[in-house]
Amino acid sequence: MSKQYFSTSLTPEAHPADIFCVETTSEYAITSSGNSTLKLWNAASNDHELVLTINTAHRLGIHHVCANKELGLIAAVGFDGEISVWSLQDCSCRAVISDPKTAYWAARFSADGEFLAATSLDGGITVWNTASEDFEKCGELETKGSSGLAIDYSNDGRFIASGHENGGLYVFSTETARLLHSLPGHIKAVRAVSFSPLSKLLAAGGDSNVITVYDVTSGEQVFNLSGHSRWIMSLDWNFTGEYLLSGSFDKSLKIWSIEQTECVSTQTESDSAVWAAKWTKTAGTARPQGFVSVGIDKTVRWYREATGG
Amino acid sequence: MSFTQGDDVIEECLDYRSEESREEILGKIETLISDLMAGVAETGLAAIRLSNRRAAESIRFDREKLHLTTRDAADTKPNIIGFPGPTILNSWRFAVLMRTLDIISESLTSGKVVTKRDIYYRETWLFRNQAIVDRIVDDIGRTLNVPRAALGIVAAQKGLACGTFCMHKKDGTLMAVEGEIQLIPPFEEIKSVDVMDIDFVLVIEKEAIFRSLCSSKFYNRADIGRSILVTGKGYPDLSTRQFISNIAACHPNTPLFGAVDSDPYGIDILCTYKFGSRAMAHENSHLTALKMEWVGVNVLEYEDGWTKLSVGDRKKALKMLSLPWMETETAMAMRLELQRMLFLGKKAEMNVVGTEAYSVITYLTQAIKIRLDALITH
Repeated sequence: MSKQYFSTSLTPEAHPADIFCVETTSEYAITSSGNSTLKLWNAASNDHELVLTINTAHRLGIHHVCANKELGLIAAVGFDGEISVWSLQDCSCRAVISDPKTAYWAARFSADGEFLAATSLDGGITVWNTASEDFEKCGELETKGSSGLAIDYSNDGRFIASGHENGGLYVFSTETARLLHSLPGHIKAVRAVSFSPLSKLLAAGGDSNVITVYDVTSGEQVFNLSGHSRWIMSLDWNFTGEYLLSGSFDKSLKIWSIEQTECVSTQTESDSAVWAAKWTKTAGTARPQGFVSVGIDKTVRWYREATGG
Repeated sequence: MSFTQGDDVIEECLDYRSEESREEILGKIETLISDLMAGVAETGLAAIRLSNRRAAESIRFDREKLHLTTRDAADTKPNIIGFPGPTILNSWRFAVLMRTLDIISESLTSGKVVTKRDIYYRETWLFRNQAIVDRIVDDIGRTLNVPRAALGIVAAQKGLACGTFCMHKKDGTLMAVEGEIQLIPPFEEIKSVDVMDIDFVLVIEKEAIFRSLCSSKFYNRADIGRSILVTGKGYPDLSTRQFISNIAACHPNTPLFGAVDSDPYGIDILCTYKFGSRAMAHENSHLTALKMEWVGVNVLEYEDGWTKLSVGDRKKALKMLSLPWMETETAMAMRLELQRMLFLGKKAEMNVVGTEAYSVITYLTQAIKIRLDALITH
């Protein structure tokens, strides 16, 4: 059974450079790009107009952005290797985190917003306590030293997963700060990792063009999803856990059915690489979940499912 | 190391990507300076012992190998250059030595190759004439006991050009180039360059690609027309930059294209042609060709053949993104390319464009054709 999605609106030239990342909250889609501004777009309206612009000091560009609605915080990671944390309420900068020895890469807030975790190019993972005044570092995890390209927190807060340039894929327990699984299946870079909403499965993808899915508890690889012809840049589960959204360097987006373990829709609206795509989180709508994608074409594209009739 | 044919000149070029010998030599220079500083602390006098290359006693005939050679540095009476010296001449010699060491260190650190002529032009008021530079460079080489090439200094001009054009030289001679590879002469020898009726000029980073374009007569094509092909063999020396800058200035309607590797150094090379270098900042207005258009290669256009961006590449890319001209519109395409390299952690070289059936020649033909067509429709 295939699904149909269509693009409902698009904002071309949303940024003057590649849009490297998109994050969604119930109110906004937040985009980051090769210039130094973060843009917040209205997720609820039909036009998805620009609501807010945050001018950061990341002059070299921002490649990752994540948000936590509960705390009204946005974290942006720049090519300069630093993380800046912004308050959504007043667009003020709450903290700037940097490490002279390495550069931070991917970042993610925990579901309850209490923690922020980020990977670095030296392979390490750092966790900060968001409640403390100056964002105190409360944990550091070490891996084999290959750049950490992707990170995710499970919704139940119990696990952190990281993907690395050498194909390393790790699951850590947040309670014990110990490594639970070193998952096989990738010998090339892992660029995206994503826990399913109930924290039962972990999806990972990267330069092998194949998405591998694992059982989080046992570490067993339960199935693969093949179909992309180029590197997988981004992965996101929808809120029911039934579908996985992938964005790829092959310029397409794919929606995968977890039950059928196959691709149910492919979107090829973009004529250049997709850097990131996320399901929208507009709460309490009767509409089925849509998604938003960004990439080299500097366009923010919104999609909705075609409901028949 | 690379050898040119045609001219019987052997050119030794430091591969700007090789690490090892550079580290050693920079170490030797640092030792020289730290010894100097120790001397200052002790005696209040800064002094460096330079081995005296030119003195007759320092040259001997090796009866075994049957050629002239030099005595070991330790055997000859050294030339001590100190500061402050008894005369202004001594102080000047010291300044010349220190500035030359400075330029050498800089070029070794950045991995760029310079010619003795380049060094002279950096500080003409100080060096006063080319011969002074020639001597001090050789003295330094001998003192450190390394060949001149290891210092990152090439003997002669290294830029090459091919196509159909002629150069009127100041000595009255005419250098007509008709489809063969010609060494670009020092600019002060040239009175004018006559490019005749060409459709574009293409500058290529790598010598190997340049040669393969020349041998397939890329400069004379039915589909894209007649052109001049130029290579600076990596970072261009002064003569090459002047040559290009002059053609750009005298022929404003002739398109000028640059093709470099999709890595931070390739982009830097293109920027050197376009915006100038920090070393020659005081003269860059005569040395730049702002209108040079970047035609590739693009990290996005590859099917395979990418390599991993190294830690050094990454640092270089970040450094480049911080440069003031990277924020201009003209540099936007290159800025995006550098960011994509960083984002993907990959770079791509020109000799591996696409799959086997799809060669560099095809790639460049298409890239140029698109741009030439675009110019016609405007």
